[in-house]
Amino acid sequence: MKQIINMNEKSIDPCLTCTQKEDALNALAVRLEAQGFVNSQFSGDLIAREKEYPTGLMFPYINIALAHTSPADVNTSAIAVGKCFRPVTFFSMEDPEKAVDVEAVFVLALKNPDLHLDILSRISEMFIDENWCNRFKRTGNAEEICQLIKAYLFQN
Amino acid sequence: MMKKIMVACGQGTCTSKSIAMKLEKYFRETSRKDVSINICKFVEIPAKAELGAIDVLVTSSPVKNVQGLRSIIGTPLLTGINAGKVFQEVENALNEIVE
Repeated sequence: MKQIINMNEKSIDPCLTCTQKEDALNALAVRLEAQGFVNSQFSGDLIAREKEYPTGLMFPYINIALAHTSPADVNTSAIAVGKCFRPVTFFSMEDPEKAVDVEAVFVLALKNPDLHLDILSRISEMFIDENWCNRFKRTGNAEEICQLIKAYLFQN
Repeated sequence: MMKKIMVACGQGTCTSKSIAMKLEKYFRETSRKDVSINICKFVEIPAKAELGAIDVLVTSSPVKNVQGLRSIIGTPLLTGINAGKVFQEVENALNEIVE
């Protein structure tokens, strides 16, 4: 998959210390906003959408939140990642009453979702990969996390 | 007669597409050819149902406006946990449709 989605170290927090999901989402949204990838409405819309349609997912080796919202707030497609210092409670996509303590939060800002329809498929395969998960859990810095994700998502 | 699966999520884009892709792959591998798969937003479900565009509904999250529709949660196809069960449920729902 060609890389037309921005992924860089500034969008990554390797040690997200927020304890509440709203703060975690805002912290990552702010990183994207600071780089001009999204507008100032993005954070609020992201949090509102998470409340309405939770994105917590339990993969075999890791729990993740895969937050996203409408393209209207996005200037440039980008991904932000926060690796949680301590698991943060989100709710499950498949059962919104069920709490999921996630180890990482991914924020997908997609300007033209139609161009990236397979991105979620690719991302979910990445989380199912035991080797990838082990390496992700061990990484401690933004550059490594960035490389790890890019290598998986954007290799051909 | 083509049996119509509709995969729905909040925005009708990436999440539903990912689930749809898993279903497409499954039907390719099992050589099932009487199925068409489309995607839409949750809010479009009633209108699509009215048009007869939905035989089996697969959703990323539980939805309430699905009276009368065979509705299955497809998120396990993304996580890989209990995916087999979902494929089986979809097969059962398709086979229940009498031509």
